[in-house]
Amino acid sequence: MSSVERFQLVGWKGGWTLPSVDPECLRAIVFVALSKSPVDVMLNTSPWNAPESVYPFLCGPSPKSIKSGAENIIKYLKTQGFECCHDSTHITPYEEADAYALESYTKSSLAALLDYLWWADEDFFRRVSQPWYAKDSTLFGKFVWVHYQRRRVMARLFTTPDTQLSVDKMEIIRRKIVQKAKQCLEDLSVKLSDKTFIFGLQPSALDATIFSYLAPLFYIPWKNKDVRQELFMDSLDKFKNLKSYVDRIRKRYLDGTNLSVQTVRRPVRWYDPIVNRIQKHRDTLIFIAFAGAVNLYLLRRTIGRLRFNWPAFNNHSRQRSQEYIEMAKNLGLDPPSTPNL
Amino acid sequence: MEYILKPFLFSSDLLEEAVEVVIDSGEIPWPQDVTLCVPPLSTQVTLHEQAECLATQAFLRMHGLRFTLDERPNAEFMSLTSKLPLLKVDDHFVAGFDAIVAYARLRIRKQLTDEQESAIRPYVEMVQVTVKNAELYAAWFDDTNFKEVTSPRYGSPYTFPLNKILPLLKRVQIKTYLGQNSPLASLDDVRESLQCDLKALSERLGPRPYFLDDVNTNELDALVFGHLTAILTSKLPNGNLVEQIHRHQNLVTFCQRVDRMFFAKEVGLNNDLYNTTVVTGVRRLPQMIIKSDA
Repeated sequence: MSSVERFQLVGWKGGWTLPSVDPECLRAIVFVALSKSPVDVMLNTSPWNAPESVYPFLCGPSPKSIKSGAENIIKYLKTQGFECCHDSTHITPYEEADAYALESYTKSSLAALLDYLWWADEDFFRRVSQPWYAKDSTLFGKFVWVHYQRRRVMARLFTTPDTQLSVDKMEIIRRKIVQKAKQCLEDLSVKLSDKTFIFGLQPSALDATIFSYLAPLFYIPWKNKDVRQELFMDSLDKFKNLKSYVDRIRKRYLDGTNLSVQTVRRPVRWYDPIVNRIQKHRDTLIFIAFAGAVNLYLLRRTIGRLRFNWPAFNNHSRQRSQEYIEMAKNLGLDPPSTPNL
Repeated sequence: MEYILKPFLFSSDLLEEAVEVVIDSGEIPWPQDVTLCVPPLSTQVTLHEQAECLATQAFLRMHGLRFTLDERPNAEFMSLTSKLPLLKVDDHFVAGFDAIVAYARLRIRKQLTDEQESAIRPYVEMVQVTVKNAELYAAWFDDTNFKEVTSPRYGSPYTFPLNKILPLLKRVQIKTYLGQNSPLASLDDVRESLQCDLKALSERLGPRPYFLDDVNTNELDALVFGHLTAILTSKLPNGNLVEQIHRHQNLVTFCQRVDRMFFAKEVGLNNDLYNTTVVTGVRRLPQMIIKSDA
């Protein structure tokens, strides 16, 4: 393994038996696990330090190849030759079209639901997700980033291309989101029926997407009773095959030892060597810059008031030395050696 | 300019689309007096609205549902959610392609099976999300396209200050939406995502005449026809989107086929059914009553 250059994937930390909580990070991680690509997974809690301030991102052996976002990462790994079994061997163009459509369908209908449950549900946010962020995050993350992100997600829920919806219509928006998600779950259930993976016996990239959007729904204990009831999450008779599908992928690919995952407790930055060198001496550089600025400021203040006239000064001292020489001559002494000016 | 305009954006209360839930479907007759309100299709309508309007018309025509096409410049402001097109049925309105399809579904004899429906829905969603985002970006986000085509068209019914301000307001809204919801960053991205969508659609269609089977048409056919025809007939100077569609010849012939079958003037059956009313002035409508189960 050491001969192969390993990539490094950085994403959100996990919980509730999942390697990562964020669906997009989970998608990248599951794709890595399914395609068995040589990637070390690092889990962290400070996306504002990431290259494009987005998790997940992948950095290759050479620091120049940085890919942000699960979509780009999967595309890049595919071009590097790491594919899932089904994709590489016997996928038909018809299935490929189906996979593309299902992927965007799953994302567009389940992402809104997950966003709603994680961020917009007041009870859950206060009791679960905010403490979850507070546990391992820096001060900035705890007090600033969480609220900033929440505002962003809420704004996204309220924006349509036609109008800006008013904020007090959360209930109606929730109903729409849940209805859409329920439809999507039913369709996925029909599509999966009792197969092992979506396209039969072998996993494909589509499985990574579907798993990553289903798994948080099943594993994280959501607090919102209405949503749980409307989605049949409590009884689970309806989506039994989806549940067993998610369990199967988790047990087979994520719990084993073939995926190297390490969680970073303290937020660690990833950087290229130049940035690294700069950051190592950051304090010194800041001090130098500060001191320089202060010096410049003082100089600018004082330079107007001081009137150095260097040639005059020179003449003056030369004159003085001439005088000394003449005085010495008059006194009949040897002239002193002229001082260096 | 756009930052100054931001506080003046229209914000609306989202109201439920008027769709009754009827368990015993298939028995309700299609109402007599139905009007489909759209912006003037030759002068005012912009790319994504045109796509939705065409798709809705195609859907209604495919199922032989009778309606009067009413072109009016204030169609957007009649709709509570600002969605277009707007179906006016007796005393209430149904806005947007989804809602109209759901409304008409209850009144159609020929129903899709669950399996067919779940096979179609991913594609419907794909067209409505990714293709629509691509259209929005190309028509509204791109400066050249916006200045030369979209802004003059959208502002065409209004006089001087309004015909500059209203397009800008709409543009601010669409820019914020795209910024939050789509990863598109340039016209190259638009072309790439459109290419992926078209490839999937083209492979799904194959050599057959329609998407699901050889004879029957459904909402996916209507939707694909609407969006592709809108892009094909648009005259956006920047972006080169038409060429992307022409790479998939079966999609182009599909559009021509639907156009011939359902929009042709020669078909005697259709000629009586759809009489077009063009309304040029802004006319007052009776008060809107929305049935909602809230």
